[in-house]
Amino acid sequence: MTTVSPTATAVADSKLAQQDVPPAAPRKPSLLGRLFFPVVFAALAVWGVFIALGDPVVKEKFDPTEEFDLSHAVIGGHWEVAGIDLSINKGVVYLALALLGSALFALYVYRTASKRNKVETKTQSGVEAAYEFAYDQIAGSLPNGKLFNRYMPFVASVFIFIWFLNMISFVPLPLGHEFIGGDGGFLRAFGVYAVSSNIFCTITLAILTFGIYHYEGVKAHGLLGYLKTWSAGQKGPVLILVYPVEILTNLVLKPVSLAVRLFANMLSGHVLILLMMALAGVIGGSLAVSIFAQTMGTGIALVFYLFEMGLVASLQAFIFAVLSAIYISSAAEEHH
Amino acid sequence: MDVDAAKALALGLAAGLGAIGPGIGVGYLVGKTIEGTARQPELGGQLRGLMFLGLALTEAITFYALVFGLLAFFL
Repeated sequence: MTTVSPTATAVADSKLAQQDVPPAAPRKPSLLGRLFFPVVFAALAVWGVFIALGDPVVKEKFDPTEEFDLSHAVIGGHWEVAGIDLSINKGVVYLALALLGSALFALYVYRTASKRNKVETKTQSGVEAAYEFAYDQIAGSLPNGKLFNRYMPFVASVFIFIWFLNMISFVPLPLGHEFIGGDGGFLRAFGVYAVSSNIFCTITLAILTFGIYHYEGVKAHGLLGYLKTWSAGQKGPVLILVYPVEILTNLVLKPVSLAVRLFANMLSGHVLILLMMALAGVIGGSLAVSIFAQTMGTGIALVFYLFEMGLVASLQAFIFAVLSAIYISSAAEEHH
Repeated sequence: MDVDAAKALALGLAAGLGAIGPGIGVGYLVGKTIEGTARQPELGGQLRGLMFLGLALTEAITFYALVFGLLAFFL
């Protein structure tokens, strides 16, 4: 009989144990599972026929860029103060909703954090996970110490705020230009609109970050010392090449890329969804072509809607906040 | 050439050509992340975080091209 070392027996035992587990019975597809794709496709086709048979005049008029027009007041009339347009258009409403969402989030975190011994509810653990993510993953890019304590609230609230901005943009809200059932209707047309697809919204957020990282840089090094850190560790005549690039990066490219990344992502996502939801109106053609295009287009719109909402919205909020943290810490850190 | 046609061409060319580079970049990035995760699965979470950061940075280049295309189209 051969001697077997204890570890080998343990390994053999564990292998045996693994084999002992009976193979899972092949799962019978439920009725819902089997009908899922046919039902989805039928729904898409119904929408396709509905749009394709729709009023040709309305279809002819369709223009997805109209959804991004902010010249109509949604609440109240056209208010102007000293030549500045202050009317409440749908961008303002979306901003206010996102502000409300992030304020409620903050309030919820504050209220539950003071009640430690209560049983954790589902909402609470979700909100706490989001807070922890903002604390560890986003503010983690800040160096520990004073800078972390001072700017963790900023980058975390930027993250939460942009996340709310982006997520609300996928909820259809009745804030369109036109009314349902003609001009006399009391409910506005539903539509998806992202206020973060407006460059003025994102550039404002970027300017906040821009101001903060320059302020911290000047505070940490003094004005001349801060300008010296832009040499990127180079000395001598190479500076003639390096320095202008660094000036351009620090003064223009960083804030503009922050703003354009968020704005262009949200804009292209929403244009794509809107375009695909009414593809028949865009390409026209015969009835058969319209129905086919609309069915396909609706499917594509659905896929992109899920992709944008599930990944892009959160990812862009994350990127904006992380890059803000990175810019702040790189401006304030010691260069050798 | 008609000015409108030239503008439409500019938009198409800018957006299309601008998508080539980031496409290569995204492929490279994801491939390398999978490679790294296969080599050291315990670092998977960290690598995924870095991958998403890189993805967003790379992807943004497409949109710069798109924005310049749109500028050419509308201005």
